[in-house]
This record gives sequence, structure tokens and C-alpha cells, in this order.
Amino acid sequence: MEVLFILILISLGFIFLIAAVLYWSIKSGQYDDVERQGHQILMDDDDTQKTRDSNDDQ
Amino acid sequence: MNQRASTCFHCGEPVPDTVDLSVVIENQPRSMCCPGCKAVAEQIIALGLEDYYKHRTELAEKPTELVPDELRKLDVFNLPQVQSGFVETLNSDTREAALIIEGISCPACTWLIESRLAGIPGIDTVQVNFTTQRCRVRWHENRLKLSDILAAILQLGYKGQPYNHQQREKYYDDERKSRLIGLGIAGLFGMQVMMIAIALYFGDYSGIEDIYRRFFAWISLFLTLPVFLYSARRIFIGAWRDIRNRHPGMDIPVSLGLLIAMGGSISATLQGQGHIYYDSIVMFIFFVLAGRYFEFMSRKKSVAYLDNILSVLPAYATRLNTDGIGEPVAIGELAIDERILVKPGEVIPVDGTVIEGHSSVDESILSGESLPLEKHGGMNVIGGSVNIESPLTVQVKKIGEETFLSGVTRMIEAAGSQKTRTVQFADRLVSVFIIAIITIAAAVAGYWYVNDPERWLPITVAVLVVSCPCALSLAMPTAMSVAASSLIQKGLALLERNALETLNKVDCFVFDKTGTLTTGQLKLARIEIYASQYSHEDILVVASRLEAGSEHPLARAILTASHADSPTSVHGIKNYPGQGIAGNIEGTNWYIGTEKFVRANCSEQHTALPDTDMDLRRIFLATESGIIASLYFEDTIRQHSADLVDFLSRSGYQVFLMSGDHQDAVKQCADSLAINNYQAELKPDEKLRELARLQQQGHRVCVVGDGINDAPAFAQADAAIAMTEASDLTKLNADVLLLSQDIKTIETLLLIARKTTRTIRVNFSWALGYNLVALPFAIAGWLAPWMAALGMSLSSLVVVLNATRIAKLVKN
Repeated sequence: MEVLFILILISLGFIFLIAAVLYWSIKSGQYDDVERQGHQILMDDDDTQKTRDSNDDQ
Repeated sequence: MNQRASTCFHCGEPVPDTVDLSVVIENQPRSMCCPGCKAVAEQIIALGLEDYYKHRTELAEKPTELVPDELRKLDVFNLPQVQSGFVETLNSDTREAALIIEGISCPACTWLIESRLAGIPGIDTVQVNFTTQRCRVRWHENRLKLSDILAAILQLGYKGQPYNHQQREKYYDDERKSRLIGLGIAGLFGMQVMMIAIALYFGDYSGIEDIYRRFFAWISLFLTLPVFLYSARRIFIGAWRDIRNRHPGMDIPVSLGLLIAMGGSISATLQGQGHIYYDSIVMFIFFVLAGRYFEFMSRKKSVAYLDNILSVLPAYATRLNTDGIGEPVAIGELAIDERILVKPGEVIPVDGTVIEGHSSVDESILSGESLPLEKHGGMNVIGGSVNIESPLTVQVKKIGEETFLSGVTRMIEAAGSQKTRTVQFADRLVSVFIIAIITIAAAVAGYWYVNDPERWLPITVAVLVVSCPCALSLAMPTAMSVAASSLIQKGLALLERNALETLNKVDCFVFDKTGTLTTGQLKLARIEIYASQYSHEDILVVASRLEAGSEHPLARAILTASHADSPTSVHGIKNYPGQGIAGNIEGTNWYIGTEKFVRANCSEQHTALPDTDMDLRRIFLATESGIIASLYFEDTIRQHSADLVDFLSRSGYQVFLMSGDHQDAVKQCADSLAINNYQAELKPDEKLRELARLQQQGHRVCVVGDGINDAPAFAQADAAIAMTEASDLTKLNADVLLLSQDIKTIETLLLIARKTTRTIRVNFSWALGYNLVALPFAIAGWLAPWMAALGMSLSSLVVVLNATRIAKLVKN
């Protein structure tokens, strides 16, 4: 069971890494407008082309 | 989809029968309600941004029709002195501005604006935030001007306004980020501590080697430290501030509990025996911070609404130099006796005297007077009123502190400082609770220290954990944030946190008339005909043709009533501002206007006219041979005003009408809404006095209004509700702001206020009840720490779930 000492210490390193990433992501404004980013993926510019094609098919 | 849809595809408003406009969108002709919507829709299609219609989840806002004059007005934003508040100069060429975009209703709007602006050469970057409805745009000054960007936004059907509260915006933004990081750290490290705690609990149950127990304790301590030192620092700072201000708040017992639990745990860790409470500590901190974060976000949202509304056009005026040439200047630069030009439709920026021109001026927002007043040479005008008909040259008489507006502002300050905010239930309860807990904990610690020194620390900690005001500290913020977001969904912004509780105690409603119970727009009530050869229709047609080009409110009322859109030629039309209009239709000279005006122009002087108490709301139509008809006007009662008044009287509220308008107009309004108590022709200070009188009689008063003349009353009243079109000054003093035109939402407001206050009370009783039941067991030393921790989480959960019931109520 001695391996626990090593594993827990390694996981501590990960925790601090995650905390640093969290800090950076909040500071860089990634949580500023959560609502909008969900829709962003739907509004791609190539989407226009596809819609037109599918309408022409009908 | 139905081709002859009855609602506009763009904005969703009903399409009038007389309008036949359509735009092909997604291979279908779609009905449009007005040329404005059509222009915007065509613009969107032409730019290849048709997808907007597919992705949007909300209908667009009805755009205002673009007149060249409006576009020209944007030029003022290019002036350096106007830009100083909201434009940043990054280098000699690059500029960055913060704008508020009015009319964003769904994320597709942000995409539309970004795609459009990004396509304009000269614009560097553009970023639209949906949540705050703000836009940051960076452009090259020598390739295009700010007014071009604003015009492009306007053409899409939105309205860009400078955002000049960047300081506050930055503060709220930093604060939000800092709170979110604190909460995130508490959650992240809290989870690890909990995981180790589970191992330790199992260890207690099934046996664990001492070395692992001690190792886990040390790791827990190590993981708790960031939460304790970083995330919880706000709580400690708050407690220290409370102690210095001698105002016991929730932070004090929370800090005390945390410090004792932490101290006890550290000493147990160092000694290698005794119980550790790291799991309780992190969980507690996480819960408290989460509750406060949600409360902060709901407050931020309300403040953002207010900021967006208050960011109106920067104050500027057109100053005439000695050669009579106009130049735009900031209002602060105006000096006494300088001359300024006020065009029709513009707000008169200062108090002054008319030296040239003849026009009507709308003072309704200042005085409640619903009809425009005639102004010509030598008469005084008040800053804040709106010029309606023709240009006026005004000599500046008063600036800064001496103006009427500043006088009102001083009145507000005086009334506001006299008002003692009622001490809120929650505040009172918390103070009592805190003092009680600290006393009990001290007594318990003293007792056990004397009788069993071994056990004094674990028992004191158990007492503090059990009586931990976790649920108590969540009881208020959760209910408040649920209520505030429900209110926003219903079209109400809560600007003053205490307003909901105050509204519950109100027994008296005082309404303003113009712009509150009425829409402030006049409508044609009836026509009296004196020459029998003319029909009702004839009169309307003649009147509407004469008034077709006029901006006067009465003219607009006539045009609305007639629906006539066949403009037959009127010859030699002549406008006499403040008096009337003359014109020739098919060979006959017609006159429409005041009694004096038409009598001066027609030969027959002796037509007997019935006397009326409605003198000011009547105009006459005459030919050269005599007076043909008179037209009566009245204020349009706002939709649902009658329902609201009825609801309030049925619910036992006393309803008053206090207005600055004329006696007869106020009486008419009061009669049609069945309000028995009304007063007319009140100046702002008189309104204030009447209100104070009501309060002295023991009434709790809620004022509903919109005008600047209501603002002092707002400061005096127990609760104040501002209409959506209210003046800025009025909104600033309001507790609740209506975001829609629907006055009936006040019913919902009262309902939510009652429900919220009740929920807060239920939450408090639950939290207190749990504490009172568990406390004796903890004092006696019978409560294992894990039981205390479990009880604390469960009671917090109950409180949070109970608060969400407010939102359910609103949905039904």
C-alpha cells in the first residue's frame, strides 16, 4: 500500500494544474458569455451554402 | 407557411390590413408590417445573412424607420469631445469603442451584427456579448468613422449607443471573475477533501493503520488551505469590516465557526489524534460562496439593465456663433447669454429664453402636462423639454446648478436623505441569531473547559458546526436571486434589493397620470359638427389632409383616427406654430386650430359654441364662411390600466391619482378608471408634500410614475416603480423598473413580492428550527461530527429547493 503515498502526491500535482487552468480560463474571459457560445457552432459560414443546396434539391 | 400571414415575419407585430409588403426569405414570400421591417429584412438577405432567420429563437424588435436626419445625427459621435467617454485611442489610427446594442433578443442577433460589421473594410475586430448586450468594436480611424459603424448597425434594425459606464462595467467584471475563481477553487479542492474524508470515515468504521490516517489528515490540511486562505478570504474580510462598523452580519459567525473548526482540526492533525473537520469546512465555504455568487449575478443583471437604459445620447447642443453658424458643443461648454439652435424633435438642453422662432414645446416629462405649450419670442423654455414643430433659437439663461433639473435633483437628495429605510426582517433576525450563537458557544466552551478539559474543543466545534448558519445564510440570497430572475422574465427589473419586502407592507398606491396610467399619446375622442352638409367622414378627411405634414401630437391623433393614406393635394398649406394650419382643398380655404385662430380667419363670428370644461383639448375646423366642426381629444388610457386599478382596489389597496396635468384631464382619467382620490396641477414639491402627508397618516406608499416631476416623490415613497419610458432621473430613484409597456405586470410583481417574502420566512424558520433541535444534542456532546455535517448539508439543500419554488409559481 506504500504506493498510495506516491499516487496521492502525483494527484496533488494534477489538482494544482487543473486549478491553474481554471484560473487562466476564467481570467481570459472564457466564461464571459456562456449562453452565446452554445449557438456559435450552429452559425458557421459554410452553413449558408448547405441550406441553399438542400432547398434546390426539393 | 401561410403567405398572407397576419403577423410580420421579421418582428411579429400584426400586419395592418392596408399594408401589403413582403420579402422572399427561405424561398417563401413573407409578410412585413412596415417599410422599416422590409428594409431591414432586405438588407439581411442582400448581405447573405439569411441564416439569421433560421437560427433565431426570438423575433426581432420592430426597427424604427430610418430618416436621413437620424443618420446625420450620428455625426455628432465623431466629435472628439463626445467620444472622450467611451472611445479608446489605441494608436494614431486604431480606435476602440464600447457600445450598447438595443434590440438584441437572441444569439442569432449577435451573429448577425458580428458578421455584418466584420465585413466592412476598416473594421479590425468586433465582439458582441449576448448576455450584456454590449459590443466592442475596433476600427481604423482614417478608413471609416464611428458614425459609419453606427449607421450599419442601425440598418440592421438595432441601435448602437455609446456605453460610458466602463468603470463600473470593469468593476463588476473583475468582481465576477474573482468570485468565480474563488468558487471554482473551493469546489475543486473541496471535492478532493471530501474524497479523502470518505476514506477516513470508512477507516473509522473498518479500521485503518495510524500512519495512513495521519497521512490523509495532512493531505486534507494541505488541500483545505487554498480554500481557507484564498476562497474564504472574502468572508474573513467581511467579518472584520462588520466588527469595525459594529454591525453584526452573517460573516461574523461564519468566520468564527471556520476559525474554530480550522484551529481544532490543525491541532488534531499536529497531535495525530482527535477529529478533523476539513470536509465540513470546505463544504461550508463552497455553499456560502455559491449562494453569494448567484445573488451577485442577479444583482449584476439588474444593474446592467439600468446602465443600458441610462446610456442615452451624449449631451450636446448646437451653438450659434456671431455669424449665425451652428457648431456642436458639449453642454458643459455653454455659457450664459450664448445662443443655441434647437431643431424640431430635439431636447432643449438648458433653461433659456426664446429669441427667434415659433413652435410648440412638450413639457410632459417635466410637469405631467399632456398637451404641448406654444412658445415664441420672449418666452422661457425649460431644459429637458422637447421642441416639436419648428426650429427655435434660444438664449441660454441658466446653466449647471441653477437649472430647473438641478433643482429637482436637489429635491430628490433632500427627500432621499430623510427617508429611513425600514430595517429588514432578515437583517434583524441575523443580528439576534449571531449574538445568541456566540453567547451559547462561549458558555458551552466555558462549561466543558471547567468540567471536562479533554472534550471542550470537539464539543464547541460541534456546537458551531451544528448551529452553523449555513442554511440561514443561504435562505435569503437563494430566494432573492430566484425572485430577481423570475421578475426579469416577466419584464420587471429589481433595482433595490429590499423592495420586495417593502412592497409587501405597502397599503397605498399613488399613480401619475400622463405616461403612466395613460400612454401619453392623445387620441380623437369625438367630433361635433355644426354644419349639417358635412359627414363625420368628411371632417376627418379634411382634417387629416391639413395635418398630414405636422408633428404636433394632435395632428398625429387625427391621422391615426382617419387611417387615410390617399394624399390629395392641399394647396398653399401654412403652419402657424401653436395656433393652427391653413390650406386650400379643391378651391375652399380651410383652417384648423385653436378657437382664436379659426375665428380670426372666418367671416362669420357669431356661431354659438357650447361651453365646455375641456377647452384645452378641443380644436376647430372652419372654412372662410364659418366654423364647421370641433374635434375633442383625450389621453389614451394605457391598456390594462383599468384592470390593474380594479385589481388593486379589490385587493384592499387605496389608489390615488396625483398629476401635474390640468384638472379636467385628470378628472376624466380618474373617472374612467374609477379612482375616487385624485389631485391635479401638482408641482413636484407639492406632490412630495402630499406623499409625506399620506405617510404621516401611517400609510405605506408605493408610487408609480415616469416623469421628472415624479422623481422627488420616488425618493420619498416607501417603494417606487418606474415605467419603461421614464426619464433617467426617475429610473435612478426607482426600486423596480418595468421593462415592458404592460402596466399589469405590477400585479405579478406584488404576487412575487408576497411569495418571496413568505419563502424567505419559511426558509428562516426551517434553518432556525433545525438549529434549535440539533443544538441541545451538540451541547450535551451526543452528536458525532459527521451527523452535524450531514444535517447541515441537508438543511441547506431544503432551503435551496424551497427557493426554486418561486420560479415555478411564476411559470404558472
